[in-house]
Amino acid sequence: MKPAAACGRDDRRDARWDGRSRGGSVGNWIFVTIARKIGLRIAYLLLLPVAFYYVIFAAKAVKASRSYLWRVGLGGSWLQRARNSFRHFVQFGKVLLDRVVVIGGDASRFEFALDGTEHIESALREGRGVLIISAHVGGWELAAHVLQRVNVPVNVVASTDEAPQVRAFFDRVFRDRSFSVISLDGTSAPSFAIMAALARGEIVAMHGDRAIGSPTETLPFLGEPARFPRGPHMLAAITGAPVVHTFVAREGEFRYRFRAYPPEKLACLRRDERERIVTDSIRRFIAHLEETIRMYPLQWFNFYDFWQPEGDSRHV
Amino acid sequence: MAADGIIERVNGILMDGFEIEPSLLKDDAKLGEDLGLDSLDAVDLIVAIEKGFGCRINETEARAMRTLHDIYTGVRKCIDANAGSPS
Repeated sequence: MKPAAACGRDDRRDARWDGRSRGGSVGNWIFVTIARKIGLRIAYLLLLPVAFYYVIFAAKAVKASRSYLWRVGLGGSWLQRARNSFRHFVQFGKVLLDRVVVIGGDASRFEFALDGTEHIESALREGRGVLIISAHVGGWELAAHVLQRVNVPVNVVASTDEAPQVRAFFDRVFRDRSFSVISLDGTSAPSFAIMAALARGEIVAMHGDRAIGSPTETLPFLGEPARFPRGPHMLAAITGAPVVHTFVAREGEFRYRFRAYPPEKLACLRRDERERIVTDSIRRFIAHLEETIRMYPLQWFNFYDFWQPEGDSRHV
Repeated sequence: MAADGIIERVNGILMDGFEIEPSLLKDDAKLGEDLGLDSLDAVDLIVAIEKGFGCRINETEARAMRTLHDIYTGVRKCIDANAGSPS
């Protein structure tokens, strides 16, 4: 019998995801051009053969999709699993296309139902900034668009590991975006930029489900141990900024729901107490993430081996 | 505050809060390589220093700090700036 993966803290950096998306700049250009110049519905249609191609040829992504979908109860026969992965890829494609249109500057045809924006407004009134911890659920990047209404600068923490030509392409597409990007570049600079933004009373949005250069914590997620980044929760504990868990789900064509949970305070200057506070905070984040993806099971987009392989241990 | 006082208090924060051996606390010690502080620890250290000395270190200066000497110098500037600003 193989040993079950243990839960606990792990100071190694998570290297399961390489930060690069597929498609390349030509593929992205084709879809972006069609979505913006011809129409989103035509671009949605073109996603179907692409998603079909992925189901046939993208073995790693299919495996990751099935592994996740099985855990949210979307298993079944080979055919059912293939169909669900196809739908999973189509949803992902639609969210990416919607992002191009909304962040590219044309949000007029989209509707956003808002649950809990008052939590962000109340947290901002404390004057310590707000740390939004989100996940790769639905249209996570559209949260920044929604947050324009609170009239406070928004900073999105993002990886810069994307291929340079793809990054340059999306920099052009999103040149009118309403938020600033703090790039994770493997140095301490982004941590100081986050601290400074919070000290100015701004909003900083980070992902809580993908560790890029951050120590991780292994905790149960959908029934099995998985690694989650400690960094966002550590920053909240160090800076004293209130934390708001936020998710943006796609509810239909041109319709999204923004949901923010009540703010939490993790402020803790004593490092020995912080371990437990951070772990508890990650647990609460996982609970909110699970609640969200059970409502929108086809909208969690981490197409790599998210669950820690058995035997991969060095935990306390 | 005298330079010795700053060094003593910064070193105290590093020993008590970050469990760093006193023998490692040399002027030219690198925060990452020699003291083992990662980027989150560095933010943590700056926040602890700001609390301890009651001043604010700006982002550019914080990012440029590589050694303990940089920290001592940064704290000195921070205290001087605080003393010079209107209360």
